[in-house]
Amino acid sequence: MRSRLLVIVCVLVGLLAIGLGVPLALSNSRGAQQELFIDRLTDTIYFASRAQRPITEDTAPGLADELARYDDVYGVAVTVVDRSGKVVAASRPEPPSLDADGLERVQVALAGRRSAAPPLIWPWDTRPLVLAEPVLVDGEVRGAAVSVSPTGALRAAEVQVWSLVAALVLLALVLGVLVALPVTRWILRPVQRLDEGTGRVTRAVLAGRPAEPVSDGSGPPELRRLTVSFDRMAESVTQALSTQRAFVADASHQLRNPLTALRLRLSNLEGHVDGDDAAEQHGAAMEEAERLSGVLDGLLALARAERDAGVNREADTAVDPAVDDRLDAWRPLAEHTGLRLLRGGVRGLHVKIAPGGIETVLDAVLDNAIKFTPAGGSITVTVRPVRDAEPPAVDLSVLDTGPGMAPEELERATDRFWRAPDQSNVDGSGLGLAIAARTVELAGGTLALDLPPGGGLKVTAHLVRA
Amino acid sequence: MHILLVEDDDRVAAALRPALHRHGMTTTRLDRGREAVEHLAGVDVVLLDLGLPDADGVDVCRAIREASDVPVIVVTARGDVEDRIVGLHSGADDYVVKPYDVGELVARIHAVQRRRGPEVSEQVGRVVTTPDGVAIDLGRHTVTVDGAEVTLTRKEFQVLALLASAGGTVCTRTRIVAEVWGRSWPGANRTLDVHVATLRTKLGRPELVQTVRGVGYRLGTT
Repeated sequence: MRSRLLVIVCVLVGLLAIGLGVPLALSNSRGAQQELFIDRLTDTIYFASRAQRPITEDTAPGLADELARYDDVYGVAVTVVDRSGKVVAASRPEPPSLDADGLERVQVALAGRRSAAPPLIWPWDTRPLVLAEPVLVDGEVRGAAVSVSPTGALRAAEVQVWSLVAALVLLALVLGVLVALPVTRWILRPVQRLDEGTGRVTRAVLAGRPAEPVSDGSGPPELRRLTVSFDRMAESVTQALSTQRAFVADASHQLRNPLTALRLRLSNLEGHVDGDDAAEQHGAAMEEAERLSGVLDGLLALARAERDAGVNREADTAVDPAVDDRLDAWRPLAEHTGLRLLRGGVRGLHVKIAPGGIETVLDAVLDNAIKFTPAGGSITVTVRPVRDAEPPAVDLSVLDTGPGMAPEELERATDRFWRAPDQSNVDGSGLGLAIAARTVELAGGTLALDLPPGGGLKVTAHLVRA
Repeated sequence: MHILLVEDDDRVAAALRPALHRHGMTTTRLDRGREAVEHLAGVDVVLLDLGLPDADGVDVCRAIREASDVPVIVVTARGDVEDRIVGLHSGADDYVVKPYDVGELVARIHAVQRRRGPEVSEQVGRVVTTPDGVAIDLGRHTVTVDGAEVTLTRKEFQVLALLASAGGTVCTRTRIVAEVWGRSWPGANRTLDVHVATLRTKLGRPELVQTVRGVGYRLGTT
């Protein structure tokens, strides 16, 4: 935008300078030429009248001398010709030859008309200025006085004027740029600060910190208002987000006291419950309390994952120990349900993620895979470097042989508390994939679900390679 | 045994006190952390809630530690690892995360008291025998059923040993998972169930490990 503004300013200044400079130079040239023309015309008319007698008497005593003196002083060749074009007197022994235009002017003079002003002489026009005036004797044309003046000096002066004008135009452009630079900077400063501010606000919002204001009271009023509104918007967004996070954390926190009391009350009932049916109800109530505390743990984990955003806890983490640890932890359960837990891909890779991040992701994904894959199936965890990814990446994927999910559900599966419509009674908080997705996103990666051609569900954590 | 209960939530305190009384303990309850240091006389164990309205629980814990070497169990509503570490660094002997279970709390109260008490019980060499012929050697990590040794995996043995050393009281799932696996994860409870099921099969004594619904497991020693 700065260069565009500069171009606009330059074009405007340039047009203005040219619009003023060219007419000025032109009128200057015209004036100088007019002066030269009138000067030479006066002289030529003088010589024409001076030639009356010599022409009628066919003798020219003194005229040739006078012409030669004049030529000596001014460098202008003057020739007097009679009606047939024969030279009567000349300032030089060899009168300069005339071009077509000059000859025409002589003819015009011999026809009895006076000289018209010549067209504008340009600096590159090397032809001399030819003026011819009729020699009138008793109202009859008897010959013509022809002056041939070099235009070198005039043209040199003209070149000087044009160069001066060009220099002034350049100077105006330079001045224009010098003035425009701070002005564009002043105009663009709020825009620039907004631009930087947007990035900072995104980071601040993610990190739950208050966004640093971008307005500094400089710049044009409209942009100042814009930056102020932007600050207000950033503030409310940050506030809304931190309120929401605080709510999740506080709610899961505050619910713990009533839940503790509830569990204590329930266990105080132990031994006072009579009958199998009542004991059954009591046990179920204990289980519900347990389930509720599982949901609270999940919420707290999610709030924690979000709170850690922007804290930049990512470290170089080896993938293998985490994957092996989690596979060992889940293997008894998988084998008990008749599933094979396999490991594929490459070993020895490192990724950027907060400590424990890989474990969190694998726990959530393996939990679902084991829950939903029917006995006899297999779950494959694959670690693979991603070729031609910028920055270099590692894909950590979990592929199961389960029923997969409906394509339209893939997008929503990482939402909080989302459950597949037909799975709403399966144990779990519905927070696992949301926590996994947030954990991966905080490490600068993405969590993607897709349905591979061979069936089942594939969950891939796309992580930044360390 | 006398417990000093520092807990600001009336309802939690009201529910907890009868539960502790049932386990033969007497209690004094404070709802403010600042007064805790002045009430330490005659107290065997302090149960200190970290989320107090008037003072940071960690500071209270330090103050108690400076004034006395009475065992302190920190009760926290946060499950954060960082919070636990801070709690333990401030001089607490143990921590419990809300919502906790009475059985677990009582077991921990006894445990910290034992550790602080003069007679330190030696696990090494201790053998727990059940009336139906199962002998669990906690020191040598072996189990025999009617004299024949049964091969258990390390985790299976740890679960059984934990239940055995609790001596018939309930061990909550949370506690077993935390002590055997070192951390909790979404499949932990189900993994524990799998281990218990395997234990029952391997030992051939389905009634030995009893399920306490909604709470955890205990060893059926009688």
